[in-house]
Amino acid sequence: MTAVIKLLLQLGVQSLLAHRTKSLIVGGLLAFGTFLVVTSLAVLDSVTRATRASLVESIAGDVQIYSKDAKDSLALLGGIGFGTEDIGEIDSYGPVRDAVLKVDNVAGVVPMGIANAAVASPGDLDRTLNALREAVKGNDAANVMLLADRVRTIARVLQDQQQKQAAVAASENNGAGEVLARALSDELWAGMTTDPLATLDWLDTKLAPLGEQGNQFYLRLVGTDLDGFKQTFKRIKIVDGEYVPSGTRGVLVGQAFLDRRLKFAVAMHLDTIHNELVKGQTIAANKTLQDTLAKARRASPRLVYMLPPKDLPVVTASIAAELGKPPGELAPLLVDFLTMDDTNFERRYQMFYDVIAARVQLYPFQVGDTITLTSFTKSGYLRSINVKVWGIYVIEGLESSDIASALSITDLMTFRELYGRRTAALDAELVKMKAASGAKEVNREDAEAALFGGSDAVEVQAVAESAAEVVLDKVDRQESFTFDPKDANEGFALTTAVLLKDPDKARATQREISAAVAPLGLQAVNWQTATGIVGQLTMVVSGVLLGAIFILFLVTTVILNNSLVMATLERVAEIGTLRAIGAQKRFVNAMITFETATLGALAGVVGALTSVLFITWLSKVGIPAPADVLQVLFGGPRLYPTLTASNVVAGVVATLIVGVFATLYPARLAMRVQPVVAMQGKE
Amino acid sequence: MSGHIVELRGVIKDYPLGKVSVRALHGIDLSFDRGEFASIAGPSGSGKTTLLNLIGCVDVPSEGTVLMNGRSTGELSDRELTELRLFNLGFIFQSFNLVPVLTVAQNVELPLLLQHKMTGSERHAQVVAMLERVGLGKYVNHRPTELSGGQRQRVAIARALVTKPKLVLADEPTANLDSVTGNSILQLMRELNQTEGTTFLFSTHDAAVMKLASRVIRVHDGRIVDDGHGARPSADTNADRAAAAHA
Repeated sequence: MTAVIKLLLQLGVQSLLAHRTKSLIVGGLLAFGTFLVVTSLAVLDSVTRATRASLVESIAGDVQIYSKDAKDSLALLGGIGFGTEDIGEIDSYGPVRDAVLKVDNVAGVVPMGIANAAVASPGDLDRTLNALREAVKGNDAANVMLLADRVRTIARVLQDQQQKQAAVAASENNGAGEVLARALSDELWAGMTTDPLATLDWLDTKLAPLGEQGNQFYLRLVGTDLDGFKQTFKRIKIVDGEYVPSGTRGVLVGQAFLDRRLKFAVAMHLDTIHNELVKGQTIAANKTLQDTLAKARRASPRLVYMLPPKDLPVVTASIAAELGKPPGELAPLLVDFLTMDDTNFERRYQMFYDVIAARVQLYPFQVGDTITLTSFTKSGYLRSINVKVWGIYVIEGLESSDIASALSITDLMTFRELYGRRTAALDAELVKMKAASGAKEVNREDAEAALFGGSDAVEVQAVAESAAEVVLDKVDRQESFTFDPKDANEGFALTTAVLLKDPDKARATQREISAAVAPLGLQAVNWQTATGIVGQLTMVVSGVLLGAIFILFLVTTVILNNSLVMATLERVAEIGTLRAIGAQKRFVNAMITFETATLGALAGVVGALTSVLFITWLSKVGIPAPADVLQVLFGGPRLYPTLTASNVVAGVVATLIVGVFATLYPARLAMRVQPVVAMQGKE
Repeated sequence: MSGHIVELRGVIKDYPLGKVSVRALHGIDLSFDRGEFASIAGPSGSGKTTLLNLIGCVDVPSEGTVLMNGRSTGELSDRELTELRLFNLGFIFQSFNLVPVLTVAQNVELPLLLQHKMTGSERHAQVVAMLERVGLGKYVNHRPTELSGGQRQRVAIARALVTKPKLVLADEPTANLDSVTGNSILQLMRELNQTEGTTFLFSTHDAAVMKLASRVIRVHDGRIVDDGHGARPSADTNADRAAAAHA
């Protein structure tokens, strides 16, 4: 038998050598196919691992559990469209946690809730007027002067804008022109010394409405058990401030999100240009960068009144020195300063941060500030709460991705309030309010009696309590800044994140978890599904790539089939001879199949080896992620793909299958060759 | 059963040609015995190749029986026919039909390998002996393409005889060779016939072949017109040529 196999092998190899060009083309095609399969499988696996690391280990967990009754599917990082999704509720987290912790492969469980909240920050004019009022109240004459100057600067900017608007559209100005003219008149400011409060009132009522709207931005908040979260999700690192202490309310904001979305426009634009220049772009050659620079110039007038008045001379002098001009008005100097080219950008960028940015607040809030989160609750009314920003976080390896840090993290209590869930603190407040207003629990049956009917007690009580109105103001909101840490590990949540010990067993574990939480009316989904568009992108990318490979193999099969049919037809005489001298059909079949299999195996090995070398090289240099989404998929700015044995095996096996599949028809043809053709054969 | 190696009884062979069928053989009765050195002669289209195909078990009759080893070939499956050829017949083709990618020795070894009867060393010994016998002992590791036409046909003879078949069929074995080489090939076969007792059956146009044959069967229009033992001179060859031109 071995002699026959040896013979078949020799027939195969010799025949391949005899048709070198054909073998090279077909073999090259198969090798290329193997290379593509192995490489793409390796990259896909690496992407999945990297994405898993960036999403799963930063916030999502391997498995997310939420209600079966959810109207929308869970999309932690946001799905298609806006608004808050209805993902159902988990009334009591405790039993879910207990059920999940019984599953073997579970490393950690954390409750989660998602809320979108708006945060308002006042506009520059409002801010300045407030400061001016404070200065007037405190009799701080020097500051009053400086701040009054700043109001006039803002008024000048507004007047400028208003005149430009009037030039393009003959819109009625509702008397804005007159107000601005008066705001810039010396007569008004003379009043600042004689009757500052009247002047302030006029500014507040007439000028302030003309100022820009305050800044409003949105935070997508994940409320969680912060203590448990810290232990489970280890890639979160605090870069500024501190982690929210146990049992305390607070919020953590992602750094990249702050830098890319909330930072002061001039700084943000300059950062963008700086990052592009680092990548090798030039301002001279890149129109987009020139536009970005123009945007920075347009946003620069705000700097004039964002800078503390006392620092204006220093800043003006520094910038004038850089430009080689005499100090004068800051605004035009700034425009000149921001007219940069490739030769001076880096120096001025550094100078911008050293001289200007160091003196202004670049973000709408700072670590330690208390911000007001406003959200529509589940039942549709607006709810605002003050929360302290404790720290700025980054996700290790994804420092520059704003998608990865798009979620702000807060405690479960804050989430519950934003969601409109009653908390102990709210209940206490309600009790006090009820007591203060004299409200009282009334059953439906007793309602009529309580409202109209005659028990004396009701009237007496109402009179007695009416005096207690003052108590309302004294409801102690401070107590709600802390809570019992145990509360965060029980009670209401929207979802539950589960991190696994061995992610390779994710599928099986997800099934186990599904079974464990099904009696509680909950479902378990994997992280790809749970993270929304971003997570599903990996599945889409895999699908597209595998589809492309499939098509490539289909084409290869057709080409291979064609060339094998041609080869078989050329060998009819040889096959006929073999049949005549006593070779069975199965020998002929084996001969043809063996030949392709040999070619497939050789090509497979060559393709796989090339792929191994390629991936090894890639694993050293990395594949850069040019776009932010890719950073999440790549688990950082570069993907360093690695190869597993199963990738190689899969590639070679796929090639062999294609080879053998393509041989089916030619082998059938060969088996049909009659021995009688040998008699007619011409060499 | 009879002692004949192969026996044809009332053999008719029809070939489909479009919607009609063409009768290539009209009731042939023929038999061969051990040790014969026979020749089938006839012009092109006379049916001699058809006859050879039926005797060589690469085709089966439309009517009548071909008995090989006492078995009727018409009743055998493809697999059984193949086996029958492998163990009982040797083939020598007009165009040698060697496998170009195999060496001379491997070409000769091929039928032995297919038989699965011998060990590697037994096969090797047999192949070398056979190649010595046909005078190609020095060419064991050559490829067919490195050999002359006559040498190739010697390889083909060695391949046909290495299994010690009962009957060797040679389809115009000298047609692609010059007369000197053709003659030496015929001499070789004759020698093998006499020393080994191998039965040979040729189909041929060639008068030189017929001269050597101990029996010449003349076929014309699908019928045997003459079955004479002993060689005949070349007069008939002219008649054959005329018939061929006519056909």
